[in-house]
Amino acid sequence: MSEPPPPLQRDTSGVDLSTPQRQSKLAVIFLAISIVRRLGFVQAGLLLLLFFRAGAALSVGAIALVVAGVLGTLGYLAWRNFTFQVTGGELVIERGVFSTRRLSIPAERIQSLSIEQELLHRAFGTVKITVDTAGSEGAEFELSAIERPIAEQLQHTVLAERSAAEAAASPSASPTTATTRPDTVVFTHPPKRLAMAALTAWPVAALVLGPIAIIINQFGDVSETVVDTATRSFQWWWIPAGVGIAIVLGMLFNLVGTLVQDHQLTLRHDGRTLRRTSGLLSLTSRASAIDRVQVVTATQSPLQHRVGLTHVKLATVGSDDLAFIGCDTGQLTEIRRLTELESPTPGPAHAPTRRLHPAKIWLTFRNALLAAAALGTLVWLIAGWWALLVVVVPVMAGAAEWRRVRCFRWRLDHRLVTVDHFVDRVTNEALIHKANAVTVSQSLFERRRGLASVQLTTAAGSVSVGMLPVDEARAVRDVVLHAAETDTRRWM
Amino acid sequence: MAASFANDPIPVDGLPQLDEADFTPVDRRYATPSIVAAGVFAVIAAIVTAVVASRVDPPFIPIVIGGTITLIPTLSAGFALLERRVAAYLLREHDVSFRSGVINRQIATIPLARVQHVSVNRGPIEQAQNLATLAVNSAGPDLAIPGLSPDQAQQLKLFIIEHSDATSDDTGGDSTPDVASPPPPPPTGQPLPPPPP
Repeated sequence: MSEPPPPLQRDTSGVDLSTPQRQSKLAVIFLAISIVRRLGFVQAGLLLLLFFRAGAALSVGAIALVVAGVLGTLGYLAWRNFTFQVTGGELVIERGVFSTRRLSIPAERIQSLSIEQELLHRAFGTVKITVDTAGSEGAEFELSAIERPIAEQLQHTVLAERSAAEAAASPSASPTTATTRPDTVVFTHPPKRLAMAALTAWPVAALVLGPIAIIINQFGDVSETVVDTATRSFQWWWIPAGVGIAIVLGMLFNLVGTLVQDHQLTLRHDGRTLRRTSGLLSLTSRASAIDRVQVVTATQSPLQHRVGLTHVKLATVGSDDLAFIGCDTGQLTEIRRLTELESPTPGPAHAPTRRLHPAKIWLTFRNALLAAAALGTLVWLIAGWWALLVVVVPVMAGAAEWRRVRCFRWRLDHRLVTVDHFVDRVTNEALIHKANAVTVSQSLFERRRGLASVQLTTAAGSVSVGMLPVDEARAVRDVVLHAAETDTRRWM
Repeated sequence: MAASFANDPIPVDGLPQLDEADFTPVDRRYATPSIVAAGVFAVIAAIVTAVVASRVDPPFIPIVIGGTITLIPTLSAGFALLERRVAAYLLREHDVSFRSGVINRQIATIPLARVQHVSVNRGPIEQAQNLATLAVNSAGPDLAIPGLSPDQAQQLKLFIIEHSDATSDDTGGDSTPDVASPPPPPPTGQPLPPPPP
């Protein structure tokens, strides 16, 4: 950059962000909490324990007062020393409790500013800003409590500075990357859609709630009745009932969690950035530059496949992965269109049609056979001829893998897409020019049969296909490398 | 399921292809430290197993446990021995690849346009062996090419820096400053491409 960026229209409606600004006083509480968190809750708990033992003479109230006083002072010092400003094309932050540190972040390095509002913020009309710089460690930090209008002004100013800096740095860049259109809502999920998505998802909570319910039951009156009138058949009856209850509890958990966390789930875009907002009690907002989306994964449980809903996850460089439950086909297509995965002329000619080599079935069957043999020997030593039941394992594994290989599809054009239909239907796709590395690997099994697997790794996840004839795998690698090495588009 | 099953060969005419014959093997001595360490550990474990087994009755349990503990470093030393012949690298005009693995043989390739950071690292043993490791980092996975001579490693590093936006800093040994010397001729002898825009 040889010239400084042109001066921006200063937004005079709010505060002057080019001078150091402090956060809202509410930040004292959050900063105090973050100090405790940095100390470590364990260490803090141990310190408290020490206090209690040493100050046995003092009352609990006095100790609580002392602790609150110390934390309050530290929080106040942290708040006083924390200033932020936007000047010289950079976001400058000074912070520290006893000694101050100064961070200057060039606006081009900031991937996104997310605005979130937790419950405590709601009461005071403040918000929390999380700045993501998308370094390889996903460096990010936050401004704990700022009044909402100032936060939005900050977000607007930083993003404007970023666009200006990028326009000045590469004047030959295509106009679409330099301009930002006003926010367009792509879709919003109504509560009915969220409920449907939650109820058709796997009740994973059942795995946790179920055993907990059983354990609680052990000490409850219900199990007393079971034990008292226990005959073998009566005890067996409780197992499916228990499983049913666990599943219902899991579904309920999903439902409530989704309705609260994903309330008003909305996707917006402004030509350059995708923004996801949701939340009933606390509003969360995650944003990512479209270019930073690396891998798009669409997952459907069997029930969701029936009702036509998909869970879509956009893996992005940095820490803000964007996930959307309950999307229908049209919304999924729109997301894929925004991330440039959709073919310019979509249609059956562009559907994934390539398949895996069927040797995979034999490999799974053989491994399951070996495992079953080992397991069977063990079981035979314990339970005698019951060990023959173990034969079921390789047969089922082989059948499952056969079905999976039959259903698997993949395709290579401007993207690499795999469609895996084992239990859930999972579609993974990535634009090939975003590849950061391509790996072709051959296990012993594959080498003997002239097969190989190929994996395309991006900055945020990978797409892999295996097993294929080795020439096909190498061809995939060469095509992907050529695209990554010749495509001049931004890949992140 | 799609009614039409297509499995056309992927057209690669005119595309450069990665030829395994072009790979340059690395100096075999790079594996020596790890083989020696694993070997020493295995010998010690075997001795301890023998001593314990001779004193404890029944000897079955310490033999099984001690045998497993001896087996692991022995296997790892064995694999490291076999891998010496496999480890090789290839630098082309636009990417760098590294071949590794005994049971799972793999070739990982990073396009130079995606390299973020490259460095030459030399641990104390490597300095004694007069070897170096070239570490190539991308936003995704990384490559580490061991068993290079220090000059080779520096040449590769300079070439990569000049053909990418990578940053660099070296660790260990006497790190030569990044002098902008003319890049070495590429292995294929073809003229270098113009610098990236």
